[in-house]
Amino acid sequence: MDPNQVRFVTQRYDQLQGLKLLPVAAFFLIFAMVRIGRFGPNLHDQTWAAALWYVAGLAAAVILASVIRGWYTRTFGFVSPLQSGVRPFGFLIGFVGAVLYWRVPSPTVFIAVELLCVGIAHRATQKRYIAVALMWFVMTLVAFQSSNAAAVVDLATALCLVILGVGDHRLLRQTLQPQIDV
Amino acid sequence: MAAPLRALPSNIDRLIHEPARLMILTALTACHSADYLYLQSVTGLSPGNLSQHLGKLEAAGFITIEKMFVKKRPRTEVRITTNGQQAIDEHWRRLDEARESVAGRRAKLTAVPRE
Repeated sequence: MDPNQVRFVTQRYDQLQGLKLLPVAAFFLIFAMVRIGRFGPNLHDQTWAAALWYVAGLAAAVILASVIRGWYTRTFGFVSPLQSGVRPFGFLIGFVGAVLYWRVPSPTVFIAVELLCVGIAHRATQKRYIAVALMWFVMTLVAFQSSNAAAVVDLATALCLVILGVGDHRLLRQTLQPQIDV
Repeated sequence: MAAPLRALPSNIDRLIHEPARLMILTALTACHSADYLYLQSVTGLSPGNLSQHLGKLEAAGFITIEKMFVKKRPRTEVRITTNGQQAIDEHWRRLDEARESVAGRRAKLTAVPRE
């Protein structure tokens, strides 16, 4: 076995649990259908109902993702990373922002918040991230006002998450041998 | 036919050089700690075999093993010590040196003009 691959997979064990992305991908896929009126309730002009559906859907996806995370721990084991790559603060801001203004596709809000977090955390050397984050916020508000544009972003996000998730999971399976029947 | 490798260079630590133990230490250098199941997944060893290897590494002071309960389930967490980190860094450095030395000798041999 290649030691470099073992090191790589161990460092990114949490990130390579790709199946966790699939419920989130399903959420974006379903919400894209909802945005263009092909699925579920008609949410246009019902901001609070839409926000409620949005929160419920995203919460269900996050809960499912955590169930899948538990399956990875039971199957391949547990690793405590050297540095946590998770920024719950940024995720929370993105989540609240997306809920308050649900017509904007939440992936673009998440990206903007992540860029902003990097810029603030490393403001001594990476101030440009703050500028890019602000540009991204403005672009999000201006460019994705129509439901169709937002639906396209949601669809593209779902597709990307499936590609990334399946690919990462395959890499993990190539390196680690499951310890229970899967 | 190439001559077989008769022996490891004398400065290579056999305790670390064994493939399963090398994989264990390599994985542990890439994280804060890992549990027993993860090390089994990485090495593909049976529980008994893994225990033996971990015992040797613990006896050498390269790792620490801590048993605990998480959500009422037992978990064995393994962590590399500073000694272990230094030992494996040194091991890779010596392997690199050995490889460069062999490559240098091979280059000299091929550079000799043949009649």
